[in-house]
Amino acid sequence: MEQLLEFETVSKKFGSKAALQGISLSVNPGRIVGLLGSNGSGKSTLMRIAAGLIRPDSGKVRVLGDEPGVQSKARVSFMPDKPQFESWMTVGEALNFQKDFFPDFDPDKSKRMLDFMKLSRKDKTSSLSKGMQERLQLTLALSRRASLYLLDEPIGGVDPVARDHILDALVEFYEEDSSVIVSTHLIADIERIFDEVLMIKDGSLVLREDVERIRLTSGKSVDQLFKEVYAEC
Amino acid sequence: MLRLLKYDLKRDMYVLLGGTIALLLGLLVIELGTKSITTSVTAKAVLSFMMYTFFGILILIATCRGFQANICSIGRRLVPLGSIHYIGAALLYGVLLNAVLLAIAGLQVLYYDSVGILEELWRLGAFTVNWNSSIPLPLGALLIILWATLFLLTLLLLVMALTESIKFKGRILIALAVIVLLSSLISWAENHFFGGLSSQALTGFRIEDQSQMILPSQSFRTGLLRFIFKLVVGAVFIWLTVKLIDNRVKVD
Repeated sequence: MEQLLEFETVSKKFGSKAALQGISLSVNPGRIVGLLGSNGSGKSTLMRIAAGLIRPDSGKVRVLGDEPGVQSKARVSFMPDKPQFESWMTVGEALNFQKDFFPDFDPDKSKRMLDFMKLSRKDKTSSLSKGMQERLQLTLALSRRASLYLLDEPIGGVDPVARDHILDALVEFYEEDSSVIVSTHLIADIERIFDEVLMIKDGSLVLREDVERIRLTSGKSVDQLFKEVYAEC
Repeated sequence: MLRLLKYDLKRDMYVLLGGTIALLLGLLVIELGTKSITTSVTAKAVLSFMMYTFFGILILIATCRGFQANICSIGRRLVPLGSIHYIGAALLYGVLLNAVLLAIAGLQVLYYDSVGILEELWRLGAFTVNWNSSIPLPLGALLIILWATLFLLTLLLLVMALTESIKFKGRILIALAVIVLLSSLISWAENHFFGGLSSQALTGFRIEDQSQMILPSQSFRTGLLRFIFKLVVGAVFIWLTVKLIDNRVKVD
């Protein structure tokens, strides 16, 4: 089985601060993986390396068998933690932008997602609330039929009702033969959708486990385990 | 590349429309305003030339700002295109807008020609043109100015990418220093290898007297060698810009 994402002893520094320290991991198809860690633990750096936005200082990264680059960008759908649309755009123009550049963009799916998210193509992106911007971000990411979805803090900064709506949309619209990696530190709200979790702390992988196994062997929720792991570190 | 250009033009649509209207109004003011007072046709031509120069500089600034926004924009950097496409789109943007500016200037020249002002300017010796090429002068002037714009832009885009790669303060000063240094080096190399007395900080066409525009004229062989030299230098600038975008420029 082809692994969608492979990290082999990957390290990255920003100035003197190590963001990732020798991380190794792999993600198989058909999984929803939680990338968990506190603020500044290296989640976004890992996501950005996988998305081909930054290059690691050392180690090897393989996305769908290739090094991150132009080819992998066409098959990986990344939802960054900041708006990827431009402030002059309307919702429709932001979707047209995706359609123009990504061959796997599915207009029918985007239409269904717009309805689900209660967004209008005529809305100006600059006038959307934080929650609605998150919804648009997710619409842009999930309207593609990508092999790997990377969602960086998709529910950060939105109210609990909007969180549930966003998570429902994620489960409804992701491609089942692809994989989703969701980075977050708001675990209690989101752990119901995970198949597997990766916990990172100070740029190092401290735990990798199936969610079902965690529940069966420890009798704890992922949120409880997360608090234990991070309390020990 | 063209798709990136399409979104650059859409983004800047209102600024560009506003700029075009401002230019036309400015030219109209020069034309009508100078009718009521005793102004020589030379002064009128110089004012118009200054107006075009001013808008040409604005186009360069807009091109650089757009390029800077694009290479730092997460939405743009996620598209499956190599860094060369951002550079190509910016060069096309700058050349396209300058071509529009030159087209407006061309219309004004045609108007001057039809009302006899152009003939009067020639007669007064307001500008001199040494042109001994088989290419018609208007086409030659157009190509020279667009080529100068393209070459200058390769330098400016490199400097923009460089400043976005620098993490410490004083980036604008460094950018200015690099522009002056590289331009002076190119001028020196041109003079050294192909002769000439050019010493301008910014390469391109030059004004040597207050009211005399001189289009450079040289032998075909020297001209070709200069062109090849600048082509190679421009290619090196583009290569360096690609390397900086790929390895150093931080995405916001």
